Amino acid sequence: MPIERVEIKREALEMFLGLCRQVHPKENIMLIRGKVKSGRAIVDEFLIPPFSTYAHGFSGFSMHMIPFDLSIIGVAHSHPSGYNAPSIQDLNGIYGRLMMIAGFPYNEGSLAVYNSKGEELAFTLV
Amino acid sequence: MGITWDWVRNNIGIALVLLSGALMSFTMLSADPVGAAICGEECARGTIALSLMPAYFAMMVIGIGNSATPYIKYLVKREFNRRDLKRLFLGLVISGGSVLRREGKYCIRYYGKDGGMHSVFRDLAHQIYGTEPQTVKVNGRGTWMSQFYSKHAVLEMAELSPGLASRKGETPTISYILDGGKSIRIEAVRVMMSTAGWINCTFSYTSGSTKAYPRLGFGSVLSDSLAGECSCLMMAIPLRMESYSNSKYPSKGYLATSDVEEMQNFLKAGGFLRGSRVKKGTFGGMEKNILLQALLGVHGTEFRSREAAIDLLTSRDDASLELSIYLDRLRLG
Repeated sequence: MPIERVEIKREALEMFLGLCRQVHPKENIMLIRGKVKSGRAIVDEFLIPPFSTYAHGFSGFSMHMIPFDLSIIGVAHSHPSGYNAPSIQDLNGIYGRLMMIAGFPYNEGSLAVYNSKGEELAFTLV
Repeated sequence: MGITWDWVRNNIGIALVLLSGALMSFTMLSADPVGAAICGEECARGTIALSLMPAYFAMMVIGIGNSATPYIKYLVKREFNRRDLKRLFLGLVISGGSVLRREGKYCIRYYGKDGGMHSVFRDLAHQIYGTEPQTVKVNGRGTWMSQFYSKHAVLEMAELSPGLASRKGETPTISYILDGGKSIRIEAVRVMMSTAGWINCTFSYTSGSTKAYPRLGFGSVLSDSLAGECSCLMMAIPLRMESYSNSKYPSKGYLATSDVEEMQNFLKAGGFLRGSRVKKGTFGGMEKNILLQALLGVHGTEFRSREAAIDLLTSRDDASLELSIYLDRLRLG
């Protein structure tokens, strides 16, 4: 069943946005941990991918370093430009079922959530 | 059956694959699933184990490489005798090589960019004539040449196909291959198609969409007689191809088909030799079997544009995809 609703824990999001601010003007990248049940995705926490790269214009990590963990449901990263729409590179490299993009100035208003097809999803903070 | 070097090599290969697989599984199962904890001090051992994953993968690749049976050994196992192998060798030389006989020099050469086909040439020459051809780069042409000197081999090739060693414009013949059994004729088609066969894709544009149609062909400057013989040879699969004349050289031509069923017949018979790659063009470097399968998969499918179709087709090259997964990193912009 496709994801229709996304619920993000407020503390978890604050942590992610805080890290985005810290690495600015470089791009931050984190794994999204949570669960998906009957079209509802609940984001519990954000994880730091091992040996990840934070750079000007891109961020990444080695996929073979990620443990086999089904609770990782997607990837979140930041766009220091402030434009939170996925780039072509993002659409080609969607990992998991969710993708979050936080644009500068990294607050709730500048966050966008997309499904694995690159379609924007509405989200609520819990 | 005695213990041979190949037997040892094969078993070491299998052992390496099993060992690396076990190590990978153990590392993944024992690693803390929380990525954040991996970076913590308390999990240093887990980090070391995880950092060895590329080494395990390399070990697995080496193992697979050592345990894979070369094409010629596979033929020998199928009880192809020396005469059958000679038929394949003749097909290989006619489709992509040359025979030189002048001023006391007797040389057989094979040209191409495909390393896998050079191995087949070397293995066949070794198996039939007991020689070790040398592969060298042809400067300025970006291609490779394998060659060996043998009077016996050259005279034999000239006897089997008189036009092959002639420099008076005579065309070679594959009648010796046609005399072989069905299984050898099928293998000969595979070998010759892997050398001189090509895959193309034509696009038809309709209002708002593009459709891709595959085309499979053989040769480009075949003489009428050789094209006719090759056409007969391909009926062993059966792979029916029509003869077309070359627009640049009207007396020469090539064989081609756009019939999906014929292409499927070819794939069912084994397709191109494993590892045979497209030489140049849009799909240059792709494994021929993967490209053909991909083209058959998208036959008649509507795409937004030609580029979208090509993107989808080129992404089907499994080897490059796996390599990008293991060597590249997920990179978001």
